[in-house]
Amino acid sequence: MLKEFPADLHVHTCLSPCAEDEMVPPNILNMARLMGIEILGIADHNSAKNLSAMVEASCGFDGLILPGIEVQTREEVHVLCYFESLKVAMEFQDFIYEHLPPKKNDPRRLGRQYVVDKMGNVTGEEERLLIASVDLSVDEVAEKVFDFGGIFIPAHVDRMSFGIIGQLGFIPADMKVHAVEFSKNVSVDEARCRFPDIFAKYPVVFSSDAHCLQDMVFKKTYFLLKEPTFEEVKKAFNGLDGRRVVLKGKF
Amino acid sequence: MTLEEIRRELSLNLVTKGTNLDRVVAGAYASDLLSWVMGHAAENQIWITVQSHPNIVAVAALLGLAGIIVAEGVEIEENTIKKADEENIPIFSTERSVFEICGILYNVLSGSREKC
Repeated sequence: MLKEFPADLHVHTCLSPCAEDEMVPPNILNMARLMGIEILGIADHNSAKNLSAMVEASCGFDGLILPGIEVQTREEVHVLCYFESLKVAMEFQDFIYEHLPPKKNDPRRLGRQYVVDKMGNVTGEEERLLIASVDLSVDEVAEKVFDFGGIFIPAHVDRMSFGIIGQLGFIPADMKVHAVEFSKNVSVDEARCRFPDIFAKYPVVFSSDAHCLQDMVFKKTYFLLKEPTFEEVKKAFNGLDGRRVVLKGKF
Repeated sequence: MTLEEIRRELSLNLVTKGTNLDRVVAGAYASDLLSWVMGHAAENQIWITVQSHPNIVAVAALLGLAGIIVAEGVEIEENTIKKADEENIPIFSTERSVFEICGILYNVLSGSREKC
């Protein structure tokens, strides 16, 4: 018996310099509960350093946490990369860190990059510049995510800045992607009308890309699954055994 | 002015093989946002960018651009060169900055227009 699970696959924590300090694990999880989100993707810019706190904090969360990273590629394209476990996400972070430029963040101009524990206490600060492009092409990142058994989704394709269509004109025909993400700036109907080719070719998700708690007041994407697991989500993207993504217009 | 004349004038390295450099260049365009280039560049222009993704070839072919200059010493992806050879889109590389290439090219192309 398949059931619909509401999802928001793109939420930042206070590790992202552009996110608010309130984006700590307990707040994010409580907001997800309030919204009825049962599949929650966490993806900070080029880093996985708050994922362990998120996963630890989620032991009482009735749903699935998808540990991820939002990578900025050489072409300045943002792509969402999710993994089956925290361990694999951390290994992927090592790979990304090897390709990040060796520059330091400027917290005054760009924002703080807080590393927190499961309660949201600040335990450190990431000094590396996370708002930067890794020295990897979008194709190289995609390939690596597939090697790691992950899920690969170009982020907010409707946006001119940092979206794959804005930066590269279109999604390369030979590129393997699990789905394509639209931002909250565009309605489901408008996106369908403006990007018919994308809807015809790829599964589509709408995510909040939340940088503050208020951004999480958003629910448009549902997964039709047997249970909320990483493998089931993957099946939905691959259209297997009746699993699929369902979009709803409200919110 | 032909691609070959531009190549010599700016000391560009041609990275594609077998692409024809006799084509006359009608002007130049510079931007790294491919969606923007698709909407604004015109036929027979030479395009200056720091992007090296294979999509640059598709954009150039789609618009009928004369060629692409990948500036600032950016390494050009193998697949990009392969596709450019197939589409007969010459790609040049240079260590010079986009600003420098545009400056020189602006003068060179304005000069060649005055002569006509």
